[in-house]
Amino acid sequence: MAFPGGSLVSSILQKSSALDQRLVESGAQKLSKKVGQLKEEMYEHVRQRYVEFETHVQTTCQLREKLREVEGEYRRLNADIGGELRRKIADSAEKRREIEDSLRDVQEKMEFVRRLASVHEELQASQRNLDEGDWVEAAQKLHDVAVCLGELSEMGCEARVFNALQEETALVNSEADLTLVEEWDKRVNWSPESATKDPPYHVILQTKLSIPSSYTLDIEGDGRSLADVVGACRALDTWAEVQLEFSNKLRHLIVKPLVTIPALGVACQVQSARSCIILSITEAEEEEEEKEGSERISELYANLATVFKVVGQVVPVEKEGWTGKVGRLVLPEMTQLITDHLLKKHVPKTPEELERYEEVKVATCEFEAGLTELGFAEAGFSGLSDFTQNIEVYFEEQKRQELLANARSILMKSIHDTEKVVTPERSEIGHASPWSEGEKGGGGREKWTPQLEPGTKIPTLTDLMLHEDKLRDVGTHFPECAVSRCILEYVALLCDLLEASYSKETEEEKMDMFRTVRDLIDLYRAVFPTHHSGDIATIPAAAATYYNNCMYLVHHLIVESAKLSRNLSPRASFVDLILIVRRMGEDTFQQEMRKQRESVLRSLKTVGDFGGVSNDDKRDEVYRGVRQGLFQITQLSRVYKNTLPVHVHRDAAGNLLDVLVSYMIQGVLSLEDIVSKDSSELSRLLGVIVEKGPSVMQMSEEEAKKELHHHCPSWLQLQDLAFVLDARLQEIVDRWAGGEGTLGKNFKALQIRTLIKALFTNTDRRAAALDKITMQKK
Amino acid sequence: MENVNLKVLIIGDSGIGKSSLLLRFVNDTFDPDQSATIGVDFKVKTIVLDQKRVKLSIWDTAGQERFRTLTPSYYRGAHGVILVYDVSSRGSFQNLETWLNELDTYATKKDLVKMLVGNKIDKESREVSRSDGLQFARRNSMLFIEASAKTRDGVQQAFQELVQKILQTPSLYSAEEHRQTLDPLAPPPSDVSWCGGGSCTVT
Repeated sequence: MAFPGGSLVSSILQKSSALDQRLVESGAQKLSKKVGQLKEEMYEHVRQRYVEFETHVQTTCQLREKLREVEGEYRRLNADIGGELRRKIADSAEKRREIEDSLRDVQEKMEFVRRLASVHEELQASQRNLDEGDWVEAAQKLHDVAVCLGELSEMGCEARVFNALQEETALVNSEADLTLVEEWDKRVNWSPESATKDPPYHVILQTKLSIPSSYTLDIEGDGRSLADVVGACRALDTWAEVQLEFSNKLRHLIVKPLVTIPALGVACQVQSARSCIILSITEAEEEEEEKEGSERISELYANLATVFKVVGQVVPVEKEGWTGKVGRLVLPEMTQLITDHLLKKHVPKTPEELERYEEVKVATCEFEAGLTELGFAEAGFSGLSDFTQNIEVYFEEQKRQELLANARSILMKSIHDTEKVVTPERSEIGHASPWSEGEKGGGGREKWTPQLEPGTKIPTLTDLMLHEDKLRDVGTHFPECAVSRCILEYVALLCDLLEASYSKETEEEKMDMFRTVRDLIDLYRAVFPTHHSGDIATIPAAAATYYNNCMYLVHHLIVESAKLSRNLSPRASFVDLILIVRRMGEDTFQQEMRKQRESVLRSLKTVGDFGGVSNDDKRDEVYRGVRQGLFQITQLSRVYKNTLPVHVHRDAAGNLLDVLVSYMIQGVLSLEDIVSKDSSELSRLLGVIVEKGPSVMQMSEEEAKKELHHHCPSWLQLQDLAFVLDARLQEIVDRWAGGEGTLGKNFKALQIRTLIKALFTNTDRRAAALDKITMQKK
Repeated sequence: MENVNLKVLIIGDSGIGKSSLLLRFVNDTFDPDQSATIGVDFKVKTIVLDQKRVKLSIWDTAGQERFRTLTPSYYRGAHGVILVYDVSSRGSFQNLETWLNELDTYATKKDLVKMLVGNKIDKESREVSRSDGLQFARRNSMLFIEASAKTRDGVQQAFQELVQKILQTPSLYSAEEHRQTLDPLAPPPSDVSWCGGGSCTVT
């Protein structure tokens, strides 16, 4: 038999494995059954054990509950018993405290009463002592009483008896104070008894201080000495008040009068008969000549030394602190008074006086040492010598102040008091015209430019140093012009100061003087234009002089600047100030010129246009306007000629004349139609200006021919215009000369054409002439 | 009473006593050390004349040439001018023409009243006779008086006659004008033309 897909062996193996499988399965079933039985047994066992355990648990819980109940009852019982006990104990403690407090209270009251009794006794005792003159004992007792009352007061006592005792103590204290002050005054006696801050002179003259000649001996014959009074005062704490009162009297009645009134002195007398020393104020019998500073100071020191020696003898015992206290109360004011009234007023004015001031320095140191020795001043006291030792500083400061005051007074002198500064050679250092080159109208005058780069108006310090040699050559040159005498004086002062500074020994001294010079220049800037502002603004001569003054100062500053670097320091310079001062002068004069130009124009503008000038009224009006303008320029020119440097005068006058001339030319050129009569009249009018021009400029005719057109740019144009107005057409064309004639130089072709059109009627000849001018100009 | 404001100028060479005349007229005092006037001085005095209260603004000008450059402003609107010379100084008399020329150039009022005053008649060294002064005044249609600021002679009369003449000159003193406050800096009227006028009085 065949087995599909396998052999016999495999079939056997298959059967064998099926048999094994069955065997295993039956074994497994048996084992499962046994396991199930075991589980049941275990479950049963556990269940039985749980039933038993549950019973125990219930029993235990019941027992615990009972235990808690018992415990609660116990606690309640315990609490009840404890609370009662504690309450009883607290009550007992409270009662004990109350009893203790009561005891203490009683004890305190007893102590208080005891102390009150003792205060009462002490007060009575002190009163007795006081009555018996035993001030020290009385004072000591009163002091104890005060201490005791103070302690009782701190205890917060408000008992009637306490208050009564306090009042009683105050009364006894007052009585003691009064008694002690009386006793003090008996021994240390002032006349007058009281002192105000500034007593009248007659009161000062009656001032006397009398003190016992011995501190410890009984002078008054009452068995007590000044020492007893002082001791009592110290015990009573009134000592400070006594010292203050004494010091005030000393300050007001002796020290201040001695310092502030030169005629006063002091005298000290020892009166053996009365066992006292008397210090009194005395007055010089006759009017003495005013003493020199050092003499007056030394005399004051001597007087004050006398005073302090006497004051020191009042309480000569070191431990009482008398002199120290009086010194602290008196010295600060006294030092200030001496400084203000004497030392500051007598600062040396000359080097000789400064040399002699050594005496004052020595006297001051000795005076201070004396005060220290007497105990009035602490060691090292230098309230006065701080000033005297630094006298050189004050000396210099005073000199500087005097210098500034002097310069100020110089600068405030009249600006109109002038002097011609004459130049021996030509030079125009520092004198650029206030107008720009464009306005000046060309050359014809000499300019000072060799040292400066073109276009540089103000030389720098380097410029000055580079050209120092040349500057020395021309430095003394200044164009002839009028400068205020006060400025000459002021500049001389500056130069003297600078010269003096070069001879100073130290760099610092030199620079100090240099700074003073700069301060003086600042003073000029501040004072001069302000003080003279009214004149400068309203009087042309003053404005011109002010301009000169500024330039004169600038000139000297430039010259001095060159010396500075050589003699002083490279740091020293006036360059910044030169710029400012120069600008001040230029600005002022330019402003003045603007004002005058406007004024000239004002007289012309009132005329209106120049049409119809042949009419009588119009002619008068035009002539009047021109005459006013020329008159004004002439007046100004005269003033400027006498004031300004020649080229500035000519520029200024020429500038004003040019304003008038330009206005006239423009007026004529603007006319569209000029009738024959008008042209002749206008030609005459311009002829008047041409004729008067030189005299307006204050020039001779010779000079005018050469120079007038330099200063008045429109001058030639005016002359040509006067010619054209009265010329024939052909003459105009000839003078134009193809643009090469004088007309061509002074007029534009358009201007001449307009003029020809206004002057001549429209004819072929005119057209031909116009054509020529147009074409030829092209 | 009617109120009238008038402006009067005092002109002439320096040092001839213009300021002294003014001081004598206004304050009735005399200062022998009178300093030179700088620029222009100005004083006001009110007088009553012809039932009118006349407030005079008197401008005392500087005689020194260097201070005479304010000309246009102080001539403007003047009603009367006192032209002064020093009888002890021929030069000051000869310069009167220059002053008249200046006056002619600048005065803006029609019929401005001019008064010629020969000052310092108290001095013994007279160089200009009274008749010379009188002739000059007649020639130039001016009032004339000789005076001394020092002795007070003629000072009040000079001012009073000048004012009286102004008040009698209708073209100067018009109702419309005197109501206006004087403004010395105001521009002159455009229709001004100059012509001499006035008369001569003998004192």
